[in-house]
Amino acid sequence: MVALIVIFISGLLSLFLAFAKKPWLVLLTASAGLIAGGISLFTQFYYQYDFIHYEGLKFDGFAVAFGLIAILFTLLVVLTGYSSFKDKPQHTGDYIALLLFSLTGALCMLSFTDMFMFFLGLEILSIPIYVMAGSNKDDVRSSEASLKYFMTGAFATGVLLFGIAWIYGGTASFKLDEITAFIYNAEGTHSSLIYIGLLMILSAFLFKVGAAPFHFWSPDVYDGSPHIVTGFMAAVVKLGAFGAFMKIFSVTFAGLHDFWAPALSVLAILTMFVGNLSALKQIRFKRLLAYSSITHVGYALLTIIVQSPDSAFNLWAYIFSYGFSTIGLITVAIIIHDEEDRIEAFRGLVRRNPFTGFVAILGLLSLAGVPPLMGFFGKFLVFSEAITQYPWLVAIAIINSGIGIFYYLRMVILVLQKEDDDKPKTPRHKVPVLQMIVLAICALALLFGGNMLIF
Amino acid sequence: MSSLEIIATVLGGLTIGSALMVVLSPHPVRSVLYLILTFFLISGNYILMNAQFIAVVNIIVYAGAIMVLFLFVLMLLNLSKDNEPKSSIKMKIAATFAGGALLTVLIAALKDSVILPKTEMLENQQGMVENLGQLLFTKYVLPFEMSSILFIAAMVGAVLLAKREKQIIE
Amino acid sequence: MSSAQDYLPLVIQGVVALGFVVSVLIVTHLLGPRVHSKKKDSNFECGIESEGNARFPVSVRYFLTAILFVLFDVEVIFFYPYAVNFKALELEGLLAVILFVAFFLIGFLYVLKKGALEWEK
Repeated sequence: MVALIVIFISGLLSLFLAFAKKPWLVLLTASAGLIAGGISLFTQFYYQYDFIHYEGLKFDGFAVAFGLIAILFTLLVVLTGYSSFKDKPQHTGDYIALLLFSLTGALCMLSFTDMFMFFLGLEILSIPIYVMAGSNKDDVRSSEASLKYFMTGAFATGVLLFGIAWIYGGTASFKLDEITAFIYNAEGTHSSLIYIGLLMILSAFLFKVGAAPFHFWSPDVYDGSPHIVTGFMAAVVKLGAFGAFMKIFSVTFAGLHDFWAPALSVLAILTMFVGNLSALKQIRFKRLLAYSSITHVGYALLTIIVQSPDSAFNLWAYIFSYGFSTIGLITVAIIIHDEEDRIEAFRGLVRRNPFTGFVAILGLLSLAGVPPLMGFFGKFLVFSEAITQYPWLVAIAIINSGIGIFYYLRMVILVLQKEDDDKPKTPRHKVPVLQMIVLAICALALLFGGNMLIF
Repeated sequence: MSSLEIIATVLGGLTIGSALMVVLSPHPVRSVLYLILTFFLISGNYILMNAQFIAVVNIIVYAGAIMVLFLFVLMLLNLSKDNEPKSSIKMKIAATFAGGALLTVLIAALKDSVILPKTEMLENQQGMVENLGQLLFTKYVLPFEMSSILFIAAMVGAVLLAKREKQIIE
Repeated sequence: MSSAQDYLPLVIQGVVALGFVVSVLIVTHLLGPRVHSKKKDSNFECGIESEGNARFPVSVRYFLTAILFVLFDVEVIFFYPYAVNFKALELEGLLAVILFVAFFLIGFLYVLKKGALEWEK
């Protein structure tokens, strides 16, 4: 609770400090707020003390573990985006504040215990991102992305609310533990209202995480939004949505596992194939990232389908590794700063900027799941947990990883290649210090984080 | 059927009818007008359910303020007859099929649903606004305060997106 | 406010008001003389020949003002359930409302400082 307040207040402060026309002051406030938020989240969990009690929010181990990486990812995104934020000094505060507000929504979505807080968290998470997607007002594609995201997102929210209403009709409760108890007690004789509500909530969640067949918004939105927002959506928004997904489906609706698990398995397979096969022919980097994120959503859905006490940890590890790779790659794309955002612009990166190129390769290989990197361990945990219950699902997931390696490796080769001799040489990219720090953190995490996940 | 049931049935039918007209009427301004009618009818439904506060909020916020926004959007878009996109026949068939399937499922589910006994709150016929206020400012005071995050984010977003940049004016 | 029957006076008043308007509109059509000519049927615009379409794109500034109005409108709505329970809620309720209003005030200050309500040229 304290963490929420701290982050919200630091967002407000950065809104107003921006009027001083000193972008670094905003950055400092926001980073301090994020760090303080992280510390208070941890201490509150450690000492089990909270000065505000509300039954709708509970910061348990799950919420704290996911919340801490949400805060970390937001910090990285803010640091890496600072160089582009400060180009428009009149808006620096707005951008950073909106990201922080969105983070409070994500924290809410990780710690809710009733449907009110869930819905409120979802809205606080989404609305700033709808705005941020359109924050590049000179670019038509950015406005299009914002509108598309808003329209489809609002529709999904409507479906979700309708689903919650059906659940309320079936169980007469908004509280998660009461709904769980109701489902367990009324074994076999559930009101059909619950099933309808569950399906609607499921489709809304699949939309929010961007799984097939509700994925159509994500390539356009990822492509059109500014790089920073794409990074934030891929890391933090997805994390919040998956956290809530797991809370509701693996815990609250666990009693109806036989009902929704087959449907979700089919959709997970569909998601993997759609993402992978579409990613093969992309030429724009953020579109590739969007399709690859769809595939990764497919893998991550396995943790929700599989019922096991370790599922939450596996999901956490998976998102942890995925977020670092994406933020690293997004930072590299910002450094390259190609107007058209072509994958081709990555050619010869390693010769121009050895370290940046190195991080790009690490990020790509981690997404592909190559052994010593963190992405491999994330995948390994998810697949090894699933293999006892759903061997066929894991087999399909491994085939898909194979397809994935193809396009990731193609990009890695591009990064390693020499530039064409007949074309004018691209000059060395300047890397601001903050982005260097982000790259270094991502590189360290990708190289050594995996071993920590296992032990 | 009691008189209340008759009123509820007629009101429900009218609501569905006018909501259908929102979708079916070809002229956007007419759609908006039907939408206003729909909001009023929904408010009528709320009153029948003894939710007076929600009914009033629905009229003030939705039929009043949000509708103005809808009309503004229509005027911003400059819709005229000739450049309206037409949806293809295939699309219409697919949409009808999907919508019909959903409707069938919903009706089938409602048909065999077990209606739970009414809770105390619903039996209590006295002053719903008072009850709501009591709950809102005591038990649910935290979500209430947190909604202001949403409002501030909306304000920042509106200003960020809709305000013209200085450079463009110069 | 106990049951739907209590709304009968309201319904009757609504019917009377609506009936009056509708009947007046119909009666004027029936009683008034009907003259058709090109001038008579054209749109009335202070005697000047009408030009172009009435539907032209409106500046987005109106929209910004309208959307900010909606936000504050929603804020005002929340005062009503508070006012009804003013005595019963005591100090804690007052503090809750003050906090809520303070957040809105901060938002309002932000909007003012950004100059979003100024009618820029």
